[in-house]
Amino acid sequence: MKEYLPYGDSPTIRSYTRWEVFEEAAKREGSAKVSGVEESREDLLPPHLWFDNLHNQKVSTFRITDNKVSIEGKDGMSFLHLKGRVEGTLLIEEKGNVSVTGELKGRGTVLHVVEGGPHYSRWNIEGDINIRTLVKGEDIYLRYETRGNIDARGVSLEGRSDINHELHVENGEVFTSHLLIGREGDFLVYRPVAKVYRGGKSHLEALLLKRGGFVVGVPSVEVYTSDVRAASHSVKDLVLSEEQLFYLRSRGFSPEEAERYLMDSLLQFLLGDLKDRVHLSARSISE
Amino acid sequence: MRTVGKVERSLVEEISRKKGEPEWMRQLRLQSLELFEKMRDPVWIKGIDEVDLDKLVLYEDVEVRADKWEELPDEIRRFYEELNLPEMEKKFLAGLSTSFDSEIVYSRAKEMLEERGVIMLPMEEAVRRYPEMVRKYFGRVFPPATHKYAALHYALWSGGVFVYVPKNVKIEFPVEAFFLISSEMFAQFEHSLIVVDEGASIHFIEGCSSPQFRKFSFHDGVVEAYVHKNAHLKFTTVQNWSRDIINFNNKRAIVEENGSVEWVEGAFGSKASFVYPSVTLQKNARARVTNFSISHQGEWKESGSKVFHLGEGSRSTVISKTISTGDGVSVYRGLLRINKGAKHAFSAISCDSLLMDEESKTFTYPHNQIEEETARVSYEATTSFLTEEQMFYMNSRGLDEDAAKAMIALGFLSDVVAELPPEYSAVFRKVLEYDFRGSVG
Amino acid sequence: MLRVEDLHAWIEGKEIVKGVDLEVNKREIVVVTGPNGSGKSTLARTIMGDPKVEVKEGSIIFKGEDITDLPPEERFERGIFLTFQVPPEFEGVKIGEFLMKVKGREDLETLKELKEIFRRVGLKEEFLFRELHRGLSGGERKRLELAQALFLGKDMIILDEIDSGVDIESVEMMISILKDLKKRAGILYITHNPLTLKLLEDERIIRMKEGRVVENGR
Repeated sequence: MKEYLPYGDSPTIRSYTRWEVFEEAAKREGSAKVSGVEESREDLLPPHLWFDNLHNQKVSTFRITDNKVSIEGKDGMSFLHLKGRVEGTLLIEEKGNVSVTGELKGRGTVLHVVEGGPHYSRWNIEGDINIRTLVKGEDIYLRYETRGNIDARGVSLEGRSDINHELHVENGEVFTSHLLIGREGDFLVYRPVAKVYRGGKSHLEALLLKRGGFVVGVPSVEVYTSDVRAASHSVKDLVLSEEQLFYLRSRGFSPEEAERYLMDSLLQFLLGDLKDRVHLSARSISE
Repeated sequence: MRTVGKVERSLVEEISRKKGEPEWMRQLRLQSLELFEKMRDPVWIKGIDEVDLDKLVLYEDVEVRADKWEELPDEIRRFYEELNLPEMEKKFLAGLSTSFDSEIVYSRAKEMLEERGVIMLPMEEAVRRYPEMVRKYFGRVFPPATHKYAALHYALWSGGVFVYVPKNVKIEFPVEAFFLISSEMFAQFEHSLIVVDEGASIHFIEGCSSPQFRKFSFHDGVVEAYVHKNAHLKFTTVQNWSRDIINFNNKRAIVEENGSVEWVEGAFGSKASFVYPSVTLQKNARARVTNFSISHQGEWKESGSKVFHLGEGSRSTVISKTISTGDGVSVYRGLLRINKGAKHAFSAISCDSLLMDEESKTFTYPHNQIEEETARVSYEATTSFLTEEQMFYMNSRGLDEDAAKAMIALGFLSDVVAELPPEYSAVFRKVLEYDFRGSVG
Repeated sequence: MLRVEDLHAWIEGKEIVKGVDLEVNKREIVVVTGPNGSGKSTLARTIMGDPKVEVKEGSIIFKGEDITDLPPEERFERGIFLTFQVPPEFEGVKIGEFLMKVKGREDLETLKELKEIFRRVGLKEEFLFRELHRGLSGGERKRLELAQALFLGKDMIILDEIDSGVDIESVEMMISILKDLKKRAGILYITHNPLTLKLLEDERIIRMKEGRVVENGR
């Protein structure tokens, strides 16, 4: 089966080609390759996690404690390659001028926070994994390539970010739901592509909350056989419809309470434990 | 996709000279040729590997491929025999004859249109007789610089129809261009321009669901439509060309304040088809795009729509229904763009694809770019499958596999069929049945 | 308990309810039936305070108080509950959490009560973790609405076509739940299901047509 390039370069569809920049930068610095490990820092890590660090890492702050990885890049771009098994919950925080490539396998939850920028990260994730992604910052390019049963949810806000997610599903199930909250000056893109093979099931969803800015939701699906369980995708405006509002009011919510409750529930649904990192003023939610 | 071969400048000049065109049209052709040479091949086109201009572009006037009824491919001949049409209609539909006349209904329709001031002419004639009017719109709705093959089209265009509906003239019956304009509709690079003036309305039908034969195997046509304030245009195309044709069809409408346009696009035939009827909407303008296609074994059919909301209160609805059989591929490629300032614009897009066989495939690439925060968008896509359960249900009610598939396909397309005029939906049914009985895979 | 007096309700410039009088007492079932478009649903939604509805004439009195101008959340506070004919979907809202929040109690006892109610209406326990009305079949949505009626314990319960499109066993289940609800609440039951009308033939049946009551009484 040939590899199909889903995005157009026809003049009416401007697509991101910033990955070229990343590839060039990576080639220049020469450190995004997956090369041999100089030393593994297993002594700092719980037994089920081990990470390769690239020899010439230029990371300013790099801490690993329990199930948490925090990376902050300051001068120039810092490259890091991580590889490991997920069991339980793993929190990965990327801040500032960082490029992280990662390979994760296992069962569990990955909480992924990407802040600041410029930022180019590429993750290969395989297994029975929940991903919860929070993206906020400038010039963030995040790419996931996943296989297996993946439940990926998240929120993008504040800045300029582009999330590409290629989900390969066969005899399993994938689900994504991502909320883009755009305000004046923001440019947010969410691009999942589900490649559905035999026995697969997929549902991709982009939710748009627009308060200005430019917001692009492009869920695409490639179904390679009719022998799949289900394939659907949708893009929706997050708007409290009159009917939804009446429903909640007839169950005791005032209009303001209804808005706040829905936003709260949705953020809980999309971010889980990362929910508290999102501070939305009442003004940014209501119309 | 690669383009090989060359189109000589002298050839383009010759075309223009032969048609007796005004200078501005000649210049447009030459500039478009230059554009074509400069522009890149579209890299996102899969489904065809190569377009060899030397082989595929025909410069002689359109002729028919077969001279005798017996020379037609079996499946086309058999189909018409089954349909039981009058001899002349059969020959015409099958592409054996380039003209069709003397059916009383159709000449009366022609008279009626003339009485009401509707201009309907072959495009070349319109360029000669109404140069100012044509010049106002030609190449403005769908500019040659849009993509490489639009540029090629403008260099080589020939045939097509020009329609002008005067202010406030409302034509109640669907106008079937196919019968009224005959040979002009069969060209490889045909260019049609429909202008509906303020308050007027017309439903224009192009094509026919019965299988058709064409001399060319590469088609690159353009339909431009300009709908003035408060006017309405419905443009229906049903294409069932023979299975070796590559079809690029470029359609776009600009709709002014309070106007509305409906594109109904059906693709049964051809080997590879890339058609995305498009609309640009001004204030309070409305658009409805209904797409359906069937992709059989070895085929690649792309459909979709590009909708640009510029004006406030603009509304669009896009419905796409595709069926894949054998290892056919159905692709939905759509763009929805809502510009800042298009306050309270609304768009609802729904795509459904039905996969009949194990190797059938469908790819969906929607692209939503929303810049206006008061705009409301909903987009939904689902994929359905022919399940063993459904087949068993049909079998246990006496339908064999092909009849069952036809029934299920018809059900799947039922709201699309509702958009077609009644005589079309009857033929449509028959075509679907025939399709499944005759198809491989 | 609930008294509707000469109610005229308009939606989008059209009069849908054209002068309806109605009374529902505690521990009573009042059945409202009639053809599609007769205004039954609009009547129900007007009593609940649907903002889309404009009451141009008449009044709604509940427990002695004129609630005609009260917003829906306050009518709920005072004891009115409406099941929705076509409930809307809510992304990200978990059913179990939502119901306990609406009830105002989130302890283990309450959760047990809710699970028991789910079992009674025929909803699997896993539904507690699904999103509110998302991806539920028509029948499942009706059951969820009915579960809320049972769970929230309001004095005045309006059931809007809770039995349309469901099978016979489900109708019988619903009627038995209805009889239980009757023990402590007043019920306004909107339906056009013939089986229901048969099973409730001993109750007060009101027939509506084109926005008016044409038959009122036993």
